[in-house]
Amino acid sequence: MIHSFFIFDRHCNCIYSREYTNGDAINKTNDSDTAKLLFGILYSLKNISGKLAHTNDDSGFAPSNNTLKSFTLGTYRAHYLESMTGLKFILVSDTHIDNLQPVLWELYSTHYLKNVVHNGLSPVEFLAENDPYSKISNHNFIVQSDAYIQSLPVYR
Amino acid sequence: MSSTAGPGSGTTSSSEEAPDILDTQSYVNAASLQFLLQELVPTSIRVSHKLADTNTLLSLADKDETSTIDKPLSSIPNDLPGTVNVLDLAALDQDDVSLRVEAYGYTLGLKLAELLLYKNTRFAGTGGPGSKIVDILDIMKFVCRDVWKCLYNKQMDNLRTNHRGTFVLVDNNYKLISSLSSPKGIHDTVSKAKVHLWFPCGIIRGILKSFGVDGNVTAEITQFPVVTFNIYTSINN
Repeated sequence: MIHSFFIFDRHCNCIYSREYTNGDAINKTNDSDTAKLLFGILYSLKNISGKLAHTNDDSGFAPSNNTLKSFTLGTYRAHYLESMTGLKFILVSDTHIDNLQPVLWELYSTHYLKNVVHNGLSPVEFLAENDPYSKISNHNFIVQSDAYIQSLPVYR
Repeated sequence: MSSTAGPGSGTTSSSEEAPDILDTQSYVNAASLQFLLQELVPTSIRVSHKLADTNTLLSLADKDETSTIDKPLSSIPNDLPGTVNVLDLAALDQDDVSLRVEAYGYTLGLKLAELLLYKNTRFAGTGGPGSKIVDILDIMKFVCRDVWKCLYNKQMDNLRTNHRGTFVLVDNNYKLISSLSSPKGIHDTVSKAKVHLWFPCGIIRGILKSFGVDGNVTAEITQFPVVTFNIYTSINN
């Protein structure tokens, strides 16, 4: 079962957050603290994963075989994908779902690119919080990504 | 947009000649071109804004500035690279913004007609696929077929006329605006997309002009992304 979906931009701002409660009801989470804390955990884990890996060079980048993909808690699992440009896609599910990397990739490569990057009316650099353009809020992205996530066999 | 020309058209007739420019240079990155075209309207707004502000115009000459991600593109509030705040300026609906965008299209139309017709006439002489353009309806068909095929790799979906010089051309999914979706809803999407439509209006007017026809071209969005081009000419057909 998938609980929520977050996107962070490369300036560490939460630019999209969506919560999937039981059934079909979908609420936009207004609780930005959750997003910030989640981002904090992932940021730390990502750094640790880079430091744990044995690197031969001093470039500071984690070797590609030791990137963070998910972490598990008692009842939740957070799936993580970071693009080369620093966008971070996160899906929070229950512990029964092992791997959502293809789903995260689909959300990035199809939905984000098509409805945000190709959309001339949507920004690609998101501004500070109180601006109307601080989050992804265009109709096509919301509808299509929701439909995609809800169509997954693991959604419920 | 794609500039793919019909492959293999006329290969039988012109084997000894150099390959046609439209046949050889067919590899244009459609996404890059689309992004470039999306910049037409914001740039036009910035130009109008700058022209209205005489102070910045004077200080423009001797400045050497670096470009960074947090450096505004103009004096418009929050006009940073990668953002779309510039489109919310009241100047969006100003006539000079639209006229500038239309003028870009007009120039393109004039040149494009030359390029496509040169190809057409060459094949017409050799019994190829070229067609004779004799009256105003042929010109409209030329716009619907050849021009739209060259620009968007598709044809217009509908062509209607009242036989008194008015033509209605319909594209059911106009490529330049079909990917637009405003965070503020469909009304905002339509009103911002309308400004972009001055570009194809200019193209069509340029094509007509290259045939010596003076026309008045407007576009309207009936049901997004369906675009209806209304063309008024003084020629009775």
